[in-house]
Amino acid sequence: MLHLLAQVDPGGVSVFATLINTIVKGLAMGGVYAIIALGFVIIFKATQVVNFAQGALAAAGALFLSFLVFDQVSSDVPRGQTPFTWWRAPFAGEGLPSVAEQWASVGLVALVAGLVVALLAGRQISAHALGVAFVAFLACRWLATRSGFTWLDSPFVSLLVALAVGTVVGVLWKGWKPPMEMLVAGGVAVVAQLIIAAIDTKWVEWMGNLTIALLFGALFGMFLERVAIRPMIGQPLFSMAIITLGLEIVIRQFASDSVRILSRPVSAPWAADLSLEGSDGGFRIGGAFYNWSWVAILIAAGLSFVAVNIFYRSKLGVAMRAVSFDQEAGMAQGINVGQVFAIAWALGAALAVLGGVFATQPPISQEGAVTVTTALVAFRALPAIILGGLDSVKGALIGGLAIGLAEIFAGEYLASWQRTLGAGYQQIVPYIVMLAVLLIRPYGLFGTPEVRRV
Amino acid sequence: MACSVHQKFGEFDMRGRPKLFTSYEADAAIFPTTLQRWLVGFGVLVLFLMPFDVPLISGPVPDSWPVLSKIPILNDGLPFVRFLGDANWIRPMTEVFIFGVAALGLNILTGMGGQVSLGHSFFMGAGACTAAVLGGAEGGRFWGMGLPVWIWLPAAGVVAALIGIVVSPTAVKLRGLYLGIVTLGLVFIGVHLSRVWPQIAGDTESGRKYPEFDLKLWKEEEPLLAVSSADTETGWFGLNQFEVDDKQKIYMFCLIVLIGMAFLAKNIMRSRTGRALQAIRDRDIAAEVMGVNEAKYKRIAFAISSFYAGIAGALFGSFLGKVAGNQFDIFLAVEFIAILLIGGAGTVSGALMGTFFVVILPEAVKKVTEWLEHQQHDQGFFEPIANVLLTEGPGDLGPISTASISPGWALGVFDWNVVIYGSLIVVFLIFEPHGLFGIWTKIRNYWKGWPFTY
Repeated sequence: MLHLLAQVDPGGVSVFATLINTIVKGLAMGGVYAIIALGFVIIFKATQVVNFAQGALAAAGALFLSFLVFDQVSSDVPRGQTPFTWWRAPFAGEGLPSVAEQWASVGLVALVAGLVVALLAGRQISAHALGVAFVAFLACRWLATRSGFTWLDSPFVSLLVALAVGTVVGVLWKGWKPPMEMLVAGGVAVVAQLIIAAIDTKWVEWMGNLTIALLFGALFGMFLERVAIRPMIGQPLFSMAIITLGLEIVIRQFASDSVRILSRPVSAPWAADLSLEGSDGGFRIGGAFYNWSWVAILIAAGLSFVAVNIFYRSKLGVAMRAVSFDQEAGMAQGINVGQVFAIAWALGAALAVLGGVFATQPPISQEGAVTVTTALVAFRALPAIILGGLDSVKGALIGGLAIGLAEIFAGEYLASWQRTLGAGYQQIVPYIVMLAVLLIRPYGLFGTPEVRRV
Repeated sequence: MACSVHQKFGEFDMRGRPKLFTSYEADAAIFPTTLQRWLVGFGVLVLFLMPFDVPLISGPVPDSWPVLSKIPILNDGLPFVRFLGDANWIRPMTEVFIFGVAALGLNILTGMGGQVSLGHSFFMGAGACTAAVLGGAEGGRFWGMGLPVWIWLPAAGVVAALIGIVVSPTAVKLRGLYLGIVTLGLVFIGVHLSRVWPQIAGDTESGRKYPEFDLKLWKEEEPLLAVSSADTETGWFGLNQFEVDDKQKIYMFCLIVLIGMAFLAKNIMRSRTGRALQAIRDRDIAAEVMGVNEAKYKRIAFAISSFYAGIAGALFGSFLGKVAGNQFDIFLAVEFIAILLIGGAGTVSGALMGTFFVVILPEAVKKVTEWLEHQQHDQGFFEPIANVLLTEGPGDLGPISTASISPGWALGVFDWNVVIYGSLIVVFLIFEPHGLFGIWTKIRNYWKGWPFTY
């Protein structure tokens, strides 16, 4: 070990430091695959469909985020020309986002986080009450920025006002009991955002935008499920999978049309800022360079895994597992199967969007922007779910990390064989690993073998 | 009653009743009814006459013809059939024939055998590379042996079939979508291999020159039958009526190959192999219980399907003249799945109908757009429609852009093709899972029982 540590390659980085660096990089790459694979698994478990549209959803979501964070394709296009800036219109004046706008993002994050927690807890949420709360929130923010009501300037106050209005409406509407989890989670999210905001204000806006992009992905997923998958229930699984391929083709074509000429940056807050001296978007340990995006990916992948596991233990998650076990039996127990499908697609699509955003970052892509190849990340994540097993959450994480490690290690340590193996050989390593594992374990490492009856 | 049975056709003829089949031979005939025989005969005749300047099919009826020249509608030739004679359609139709061969192959594997394969383009690429090496020019930058077409065309099929046999054990091991994703992996591996061996597959971007169709005995200079060169001066076989150029001769060549392969496919379907495959598709365990050797028949299915794909790949390469290895990618593979689903999986005529539909569609969309442009330009009757559909610039909300680069929200004609094709997959699967063949069956059954609904 000691002689390993002492060994130094020509670049001045010790072999050991390179090894650790490669492992972290591989895990980061695997983290992106794992996030997307989790989306695959959630959708597959609930609806038995391999969602080939995952890549297109990832690209569409990342594109949506890029429109939110970066609304100037070139400097001479005035702000507000792109279609997705409407959501900021109530808050925004001219010029750069104001503090109030950033706070508005905080409030939105809080609201959404509260909703997610309430959903996880399986509470019934009155859609009307939610709608009213949202409108009330927007109204508060509009009043705060346009009319000088300074007491509304705190988004926390706005949020409380909005939740109060929504609660009153909900109680009056159907005797709805306001879920405490919602308020608690909203508070927690506000505190978390405050901490992040204390570090750097640009994080606040970006996180708010990311949340909105995830929400967009979830809604988009629900829409696709309702339009294309629900009518197909009872048809062969192959047909359902191919339908998602058709969706992938259509969505991807629209998405790539927007980036064919200019790629669209997602402006991640950890990325290198060229206007600042010495900001290279990363840090060094033992001479080896670590990108901040690797850390972000690892945190996001870990949080996604934990969140999915918590979700499967909640009431709705149990319902989802019951439905994946037997749809008719679930229905007989009073589970709304349609709702379960919708939620599964919403979660799967939101995870796809998260993966898509990270797919624009190193180590997947060095550009930090949505390009025409962003959607292909889902095809690279397919070996991960096959390796881990199509219906295993644990398998998605482990499969994703394993595939990412294999790819990065092959790229790093077989580089001297490049001439024999061909340029870009590391990109097909996942498929070779997948083939090898499948021939030994046909249902992946953790997948449930299909019970076959005559 | 017995005397009314027609021994010759095996049809049970009773007045006012649909005809019934009374023998197994009659039921399993290639064309079970007289109408089908006539329709197919007429279709093949039209296809054969299409490249030539035949009155009625591709041009106006001469004035010297006594009766037909008096009918006004025939002034430009037969409606619907006439457009086929247009020289613009020769190349798309040739592509239909080539893709038809490949689709027939996938139909045997996926439609008849029920094995989902997303790797058909890999086998096509394998066939194309074999053809390029065996038939390509000698002594160049790329490997080539300069052999004649009667060697490289069957060899392309055989090599692809051998690769198919090598791959087939995975199909025994894996089921359903697992198999689909593994075959998808094959495509990525294949595209990578084409980059690793440029001396076989040609340059990554531009590919290599493929052999020509000229019929030679061996490597002599003067071909027995020149297919790839125009001899408009003397005409084919020295007959001046048959003035054909190279495009038309390649058309004929591919048409003959397609007809041969279609009959082969139909006969495979009627044979013991076909019945075994259908049994495996319907319920594999039940098939095994009945004594069908699953591994053997899956191997056969893969071999036959890859044979078809290899032939189609070789034809495709020679038809285009130059193909890059990365053209045999996942989108091509998906196209064949789309062809099967749109046409109707499991039937030969469905596969051919689907091929016609999917391959001709881009050309049709292009023609319609051109026509709209003309309408707009000449201020024709449909100008308002053209104004709505065609975009004039970034501010215009028209969805179709005729410019080569389409910024903003308008999509170019090519993009619209892709979008339409993706939506067709979704729409057909939702509304008509049996595809075009299903529509045809419905129409036929409606008239069979007319005026009753059953």
